[in-house]
Amino acid sequence: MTRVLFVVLLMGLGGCKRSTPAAGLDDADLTRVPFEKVTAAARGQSVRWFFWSGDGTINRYVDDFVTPTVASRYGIRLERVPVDDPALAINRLLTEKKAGQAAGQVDLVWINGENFRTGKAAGLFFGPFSSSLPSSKFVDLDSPAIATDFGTPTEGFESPWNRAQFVFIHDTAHLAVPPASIEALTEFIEQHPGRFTYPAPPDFTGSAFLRHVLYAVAGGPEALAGPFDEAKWAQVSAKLFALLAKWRPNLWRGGQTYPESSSRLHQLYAQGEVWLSMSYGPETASSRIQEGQFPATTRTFVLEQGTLANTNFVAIPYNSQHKAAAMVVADFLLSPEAQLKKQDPSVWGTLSVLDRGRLTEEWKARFEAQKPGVATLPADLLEAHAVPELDPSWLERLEAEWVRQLAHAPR
Amino acid sequence: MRPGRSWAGWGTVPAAFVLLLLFGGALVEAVSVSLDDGLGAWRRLLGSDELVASLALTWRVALTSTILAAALGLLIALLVRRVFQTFGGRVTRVLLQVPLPMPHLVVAIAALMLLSQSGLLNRLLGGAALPPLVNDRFGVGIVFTYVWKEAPFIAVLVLSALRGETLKLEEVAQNLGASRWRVLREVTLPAALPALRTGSTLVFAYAFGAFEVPRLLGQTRPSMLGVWSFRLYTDVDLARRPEGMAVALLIFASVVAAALALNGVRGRVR
Repeated sequence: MTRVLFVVLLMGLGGCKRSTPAAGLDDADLTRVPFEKVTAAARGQSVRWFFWSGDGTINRYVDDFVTPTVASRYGIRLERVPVDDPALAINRLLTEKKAGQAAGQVDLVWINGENFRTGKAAGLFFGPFSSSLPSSKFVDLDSPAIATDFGTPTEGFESPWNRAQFVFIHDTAHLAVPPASIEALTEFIEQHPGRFTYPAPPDFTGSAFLRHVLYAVAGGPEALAGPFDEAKWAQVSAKLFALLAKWRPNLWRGGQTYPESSSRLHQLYAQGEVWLSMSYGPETASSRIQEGQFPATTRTFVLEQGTLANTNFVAIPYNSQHKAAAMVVADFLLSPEAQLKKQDPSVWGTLSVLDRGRLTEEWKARFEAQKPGVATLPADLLEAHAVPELDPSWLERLEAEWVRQLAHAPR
Repeated sequence: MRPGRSWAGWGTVPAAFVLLLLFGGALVEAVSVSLDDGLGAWRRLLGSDELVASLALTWRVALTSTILAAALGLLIALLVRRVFQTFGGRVTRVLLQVPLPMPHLVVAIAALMLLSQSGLLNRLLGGAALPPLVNDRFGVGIVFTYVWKEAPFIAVLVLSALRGETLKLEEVAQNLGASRWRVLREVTLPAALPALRTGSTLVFAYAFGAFEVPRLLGQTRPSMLGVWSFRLYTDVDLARRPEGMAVALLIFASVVAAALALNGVRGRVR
C-alpha cells in the first residue's frame, strides 16, 4: 500500500517537474524563438551547475559575480554544485539515461575534452544551441579553438566560456633569458643539471608538458592531427623517448623521481630547487606572486613553436528541467561584461573566448584598457602562440609508455 | 558452552553485523571488480616486475616503521614511568598526546619542509650535504613520518596498560628482592606486551595500506601498494581498474597475514 502511494507520489512529482519548462516552449522551440522568449521562460527557474570547484578564485568569480547578477537581472537561481571531476557528472548522466530518467538533476556542466566526447557520443547533451545565444555573435564560432574541442567537433552542443593556455614560469633574477623552445630547454638542462623537472604523468600538467615535447619532435601539431595512428606513433615515440632519456640524468634528483603534482613543482620552484615551473593557467604565476608564494621577479613565457591552449565549455544535459534558464546563464557567461570581469586579474585573470574584432568599439576599448596580471602575458601574444590540443586518443599510449620507460628509478 | 545458557558472544553481534555489512560488502565488491575480465587482471599483475618491487618496498617500509615505532614507543613509555615519574611527568604525558590527533597529511608536509633538499635541515647544515631524505628509493621520509606519528601512540597505549595492578606487582617484586632489571623483564615487559602487540598491529596495517604519506614522500616508481592501487584505479584506461582492485586485495591479504602472525595464534590459545 505504502509502495503504491509512493509510486503515485513520484509520478505526481515527475508530472509537476515536467510541466515546468513547458511555459509554451518545448525543447525544440528554445533554439528557434527569439531569445527574449527564452529569457521570459527562464524567469523563476533554478540552474544546478556541475562545476569543478578545486580553485577558490574561480569559485568566487561564480559566487560573487555570476550568481548575483543572473539572479537580479533574469530572476534565475544559479547553484554551483561542486564536483571533483567533470567525469563524475558524465557518469551520473549516463546512469540517468540508462535508467530512462526524464527529470535530470543537472542543468549545466563545465566540460571539455574527453568528457564532452563521451557525452556527445552517448547523446547526453541538448542542442545544438550555442549559435542561438545572442552573445555568440562576439565569438568566432568557426575558429578551430571553438569549433572543435580536443579534436571533437562541438557542433553547437556546448557553448564556450573560458580559455586556458599552457605557460612556463621562470624567475628573472636567476634566469633572464628563458629557454623558449624545446631545443633551448635541452641545452638548459645540460648546462644546469638538477634545475629542471616536470610533474610525473599522468598528472595533468606533466602530461601536457609531455605533449609539447611530442609536438616538437613530431614537427608541430599538424603532424599528429586526428585520432591515434599506430604508424605515426611508432615514428615519433622513438624520438620522443630518446630525447626524454637524454634529459633524464640531468633532471632534478637525477631523474630518479619526479614531483607528483604541479603544486609540488611550484613548491620546488618557490624554494629555488628548480628554476622553471609550468602551468596550464596563464594567470597562475601572477596570483602566486600576489599571494607571496612566488618571488616578485617571477614571469611567464611561451615556446616559440607555441604552447597548448584549450577552450572550456558549458553543456546542457538532455534531461535538464530548466533548459531555458541554462541557456540564459550560458549566454550571460559569454557576454562581454562577464568575459571582461573574468579577465580582471583581481578577480580571476584568465583568457576571454571573445573575438576582439567582433566587439563594439566601446567594449574593445575596455578590453584593451585592462592590464593583465604582473606575470601574465598579454592576451594577443598568447593567442599568437596557441597550438591546438592533441586528440585524447593519444594520451593513453603516451602516458603508459612514459611510465614504462621513464618512471622507474634506474637500478 | 552448554546449550540453553546464553552465549556471551551475543554481545558482539551488533558490531559483527556492521562489520560484515560494511567491510564484507566492500570486500565482495572488490573481489568482483578485480575479476571483471576473468583472471586477466590478476595474471597481468602477477606477471609484472613492478609487483615484486612495489611489494618489497611496501613490506620493508611498513615493517621498519612498525619496529622503530614500537621500540621507540616502548622506550618513551618506560622513560616516562621511571625518569619523569616525579618530575615533569604530566607535561610529558600531555606532550605525548599532541601527535595523536594530527592528520598524517600534515605530518607528511612538515617532513617535506624539514627533510627535502631545500628543507630546514639542509639549510641548517649549510648546503645539500645530506643524501636525499624524501622521495628517495628507501622511503626514509615515509618511515620518519610514521615513526614520529606512531611512536607516541604506542607509548600512550603502553602507559595506560602499565597502570594500576602492574605498579603493585612491581612493588611486590621489588620487596621480594628482585633487581630492577629483573622487575622490568619479568613484570613490566610482559604486562606491556599485549598493548605493544595491539599497537604494532594497528601501525603496521596503517603504514602498509595508507596513501597520502607515500604519495607525497615516495619516489615516482616503484611506489607503495596504496599509491599504485589508486593510480591503477584512476588510470585513463578503464581496463586497469580490476588491477587496482587486485592490488587493494593484496594489501588486505598482507595486513591480515601480519595481524595473524602478531596476534592470532596466541589469542586463540588463551
